[in-house]
Amino acid sequence: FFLRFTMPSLEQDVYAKKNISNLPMELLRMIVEPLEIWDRLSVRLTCSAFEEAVATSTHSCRIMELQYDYEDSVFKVMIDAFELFGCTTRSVAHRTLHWRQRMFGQLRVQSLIVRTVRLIDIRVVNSFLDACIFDELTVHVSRHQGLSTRVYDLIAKAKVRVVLHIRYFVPTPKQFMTFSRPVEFHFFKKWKPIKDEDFLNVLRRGHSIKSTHGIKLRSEQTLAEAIKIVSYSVVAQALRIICIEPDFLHPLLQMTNAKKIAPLKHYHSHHTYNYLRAQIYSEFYPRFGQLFVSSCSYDEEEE
Amino acid sequence: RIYPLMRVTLTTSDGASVTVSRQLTKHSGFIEKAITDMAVDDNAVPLSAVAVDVDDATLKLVIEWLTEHRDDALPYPEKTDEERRADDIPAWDQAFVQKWDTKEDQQQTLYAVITAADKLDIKGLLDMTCKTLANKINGKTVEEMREILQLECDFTEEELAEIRKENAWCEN
Repeated sequence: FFLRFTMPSLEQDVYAKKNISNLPMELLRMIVEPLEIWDRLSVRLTCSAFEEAVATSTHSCRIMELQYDYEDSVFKVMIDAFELFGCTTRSVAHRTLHWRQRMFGQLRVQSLIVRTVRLIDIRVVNSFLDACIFDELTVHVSRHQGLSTRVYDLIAKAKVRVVLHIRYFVPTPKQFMTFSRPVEFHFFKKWKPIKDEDFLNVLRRGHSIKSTHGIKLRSEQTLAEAIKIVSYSVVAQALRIICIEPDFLHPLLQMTNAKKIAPLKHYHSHHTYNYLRAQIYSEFYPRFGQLFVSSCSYDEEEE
Repeated sequence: RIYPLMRVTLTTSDGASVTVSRQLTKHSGFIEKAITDMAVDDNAVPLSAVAVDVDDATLKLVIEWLTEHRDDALPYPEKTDEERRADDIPAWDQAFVQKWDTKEDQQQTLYAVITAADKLDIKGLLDMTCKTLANKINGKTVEEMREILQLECDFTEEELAEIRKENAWCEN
């Protein structure tokens, strides 16, 4: 009471301290973390406390995509619906690095998509990835890079699931064995004949294979073993079988738990043949929904 | 098990005494620790009052919120990345905060409740109040955000220009 009269500014100062910007930094981070990226841009302009909160907080996003255009040497970073453009020149890379450091302390990404592994050579992209925790990783492996150590380094960082899109080549059976964790491979190139035992070894490693051209197996026993491996797998695996002989497939499906078999799909006509489709899932498969499908086809037409 | 009839006396920063059920105080990490430090088990009543650095008016609001949330699960669940969103505030909580909007010192009340939740270590209340603030500034312009949060721009013109330049990087 005495101070109010002797130091009239004191009460005002105390009042001024009761301002949101004077909250502990931890609480300011809690306020900015649910914000979308464009709101982060705005709130960092309000005052220095919120600017610091933005720079040191975690931003969660669903998808982050990194692309690199070889011809124009331009890389593109997309965070959900938000686009950041840059290029490989040192000065711009430096600016982008600074931008990332002021925009996020950490990025938590559900799904990281890397369009070409070459872009990991760029310092700024390394910086993005250093500050990034991602659950799912999809890498579109370039013809130039192949399965380099950079791909393996990226794979090691993914917390849950890894998908490799390989357009121009198919790894050798030996290369499949170099992946220390289950990988879902999507191939667009026709496979050279693969030994049945090599195919089973790939499945035993927990890998899944989705191939545009299918994989031709040599024997019924291989298909039976493949069904067994996938249905008893302790990792998320699925096996899609395309068969023109239901009488042949049904006894094989009896071997596994019926709950792990998706309802047999309808016959559909392909050229002159009717195909029967079935999908076998491992117990851990459903959490990924229908996005996660590995396939092997038993194609009597090709056989 | 905590019996509803067991009560704890809290003394506020402005000297008031408030007696509340242990059912409510179990949501406060600070009060629970204070009781544990007194070597009192769940079935006993603490001999002395627990001093809290929160004023009487704010504590009443905190108790009102705790009463509504007395049956919430403990420990407060850690949020996953998908749950880091601000649009999932329960209807009762929204109405609870909206009541303050009519007050002249609405900003001060929100500030006081956030700091109280932080000091008393009540994670659910802290989470809800921070989300409320996030919702208030969601989709607003810089000026509107400053007005809502009653912030003063403490940047120099040069600093502001630099941040605008960084933002323009993305906005382009």
